[in-house]
Amino acid sequence: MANLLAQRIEETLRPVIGTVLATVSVDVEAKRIGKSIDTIDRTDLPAIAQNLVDALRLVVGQELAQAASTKVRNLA
Amino acid sequence: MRWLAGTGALSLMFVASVPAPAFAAGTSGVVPEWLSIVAGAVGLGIAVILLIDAYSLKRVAEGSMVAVNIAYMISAVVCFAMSMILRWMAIFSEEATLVDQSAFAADLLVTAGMALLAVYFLRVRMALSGYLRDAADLYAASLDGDESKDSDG
Repeated sequence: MANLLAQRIEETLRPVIGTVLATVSVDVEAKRIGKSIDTIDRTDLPAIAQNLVDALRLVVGQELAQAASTKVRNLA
Repeated sequence: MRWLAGTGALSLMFVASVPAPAFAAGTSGVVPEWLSIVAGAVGLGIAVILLIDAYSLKRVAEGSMVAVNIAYMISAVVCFAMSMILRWMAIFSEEATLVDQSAFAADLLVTAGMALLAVYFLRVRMALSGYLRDAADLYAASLDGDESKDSDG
């Protein structure tokens, strides 16, 4: 079970990429910064948000990827 | 450029599947009956592929704006498929009234299908625009917050 912050990131991404991709994205981004979905905290949000732009750009385009990243960064 | 080619191909496919030209051609004898039947069969095959793809997309993107509204697109495809079937009824029917009625119903179904597609794209566009707007507002608010912190410091 992911921590609350991971769940909130997932909820933020869900409208754009759906439940499955959102879950996978959060998991991948947490691992990319050397953590897991259980251990990420607010201080990790800028790094996760930055990495999400690159990851999501291919799926939803630059503008939406940037928007999703902004929303994730503002969860802090 | 790829988008333009795709749109062109889709438009051509749609125009070719619209019942009115096919019906007009069929009655004048220019288009043989077997060709109309084959075209209808191909259309129904494509409709089935579309439905499978739409359902797969719904599963992959479950919860997203694209998937939440996909019922509109599925309904539109069903309308187009029903239109094809009605067109077949018109071809095989010997009763003039039934031919006219099924041709009219097929035209109505194509119109309904287009309306459903329009609703689908409108809803997805509006949802995504809203998401972008929310993010822009959040970004502006965070910039304001940073500026007020700087001025306080």
